[in-house]
Amino acid sequence: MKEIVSITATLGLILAVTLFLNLLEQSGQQIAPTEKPGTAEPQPDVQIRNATIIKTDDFGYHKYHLHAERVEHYLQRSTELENLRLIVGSASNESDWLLTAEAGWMDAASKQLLLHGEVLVNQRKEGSEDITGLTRDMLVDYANTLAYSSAPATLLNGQNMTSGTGLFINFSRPGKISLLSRVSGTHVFE
Amino acid sequence: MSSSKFTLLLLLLALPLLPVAEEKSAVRVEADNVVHDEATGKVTYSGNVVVTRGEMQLLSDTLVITRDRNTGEGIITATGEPLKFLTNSEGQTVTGDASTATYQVDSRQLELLGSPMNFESVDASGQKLNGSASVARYDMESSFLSMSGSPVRFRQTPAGDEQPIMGTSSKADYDMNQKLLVLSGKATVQQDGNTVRNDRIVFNLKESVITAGAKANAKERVETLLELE
Repeated sequence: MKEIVSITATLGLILAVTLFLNLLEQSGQQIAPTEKPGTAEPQPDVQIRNATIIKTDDFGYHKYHLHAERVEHYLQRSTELENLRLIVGSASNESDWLLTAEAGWMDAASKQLLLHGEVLVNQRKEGSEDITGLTRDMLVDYANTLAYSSAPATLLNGQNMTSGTGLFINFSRPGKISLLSRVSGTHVFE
Repeated sequence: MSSSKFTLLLLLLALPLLPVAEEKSAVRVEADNVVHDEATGKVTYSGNVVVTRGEMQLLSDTLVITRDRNTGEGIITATGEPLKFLTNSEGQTVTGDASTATYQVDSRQLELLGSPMNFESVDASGQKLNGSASVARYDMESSFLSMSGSPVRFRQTPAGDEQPIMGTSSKADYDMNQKLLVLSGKATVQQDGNTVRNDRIVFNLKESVITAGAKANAKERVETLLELE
């Protein structure tokens, strides 16, 4: 009789544990959706499509003209941009730089803009050949009026092509663009 | 614009350069860094610069590429302490060093300045002419080297066992095709202890003949002729 009681008690214990585990699993499945990683990520407080941001100097001239297809602003963090075009006017308004990128990231203080991925640089000036450059991951420093990249870069100017590593533009010195290292160029004279 | 579109755009922009770059008119440059200045139209290379254009090569500290405002001709100016130059045209190799070199791309004129600039010319037979000057203009189109200095010094080393010939003058013109070296202005030539002095000395390197006189073609000239063999 004692054996029957003991077996029954053991089976009962196993059944209780199994039921408890099942309940625990079910409760876990119910909780899981509320712990999705996506819900933990911050959401932008402002989203704008086809936004244009213009920063002017003291005299009202356009210094920076930024257009992006999509702008997402995150509270106390940064601003993310998609398909953006940045036009930087020179101090003398003689020539403008146009920087194009697929994505960008602007810091909370709006002092720096990081252009992600491939960046196309173009300068047009009346009476001279355009300069077109291609590089990656370029930082635009508004405060110091310069832009640079440490990635490989290529410049095209008329029939001249120059390649190197690292690209530098000082917007306060109109028309100047530099490749910083390991440069090789081909110049064709007709 | 997608990444592939960017790359495609750049390739399309560069496409016309590919066949043209192979032509003789292309100048290739390697350096540590470069600055394009649209305001002045200058491209400035700096640091371990090597420029190659067909038969010519310059090794310098800096190199500036511009275009002549009137003619549009490409002008290359190299500076270095010193810069090295090397040209190889129709079997004639000219090497040397200078502090400044200016090369006109279309007319193939190379001007060298130095204090002094040193040069060495070697022809296909191995005959050497080396020396120094303050200014040298080398016309690669006609293989003509014109030098001036205070003085211009030269030394010719014949290919055989002959003794070297040395000389000085204020000005020297070397026609590499004709193998004629014309010294003018306090010209002096020495060989085997013999010295010839005159205001004008013509040295035929091919025949190893020295002609001295004020005007080589004038009837009243006084000539000194030395047969070196």
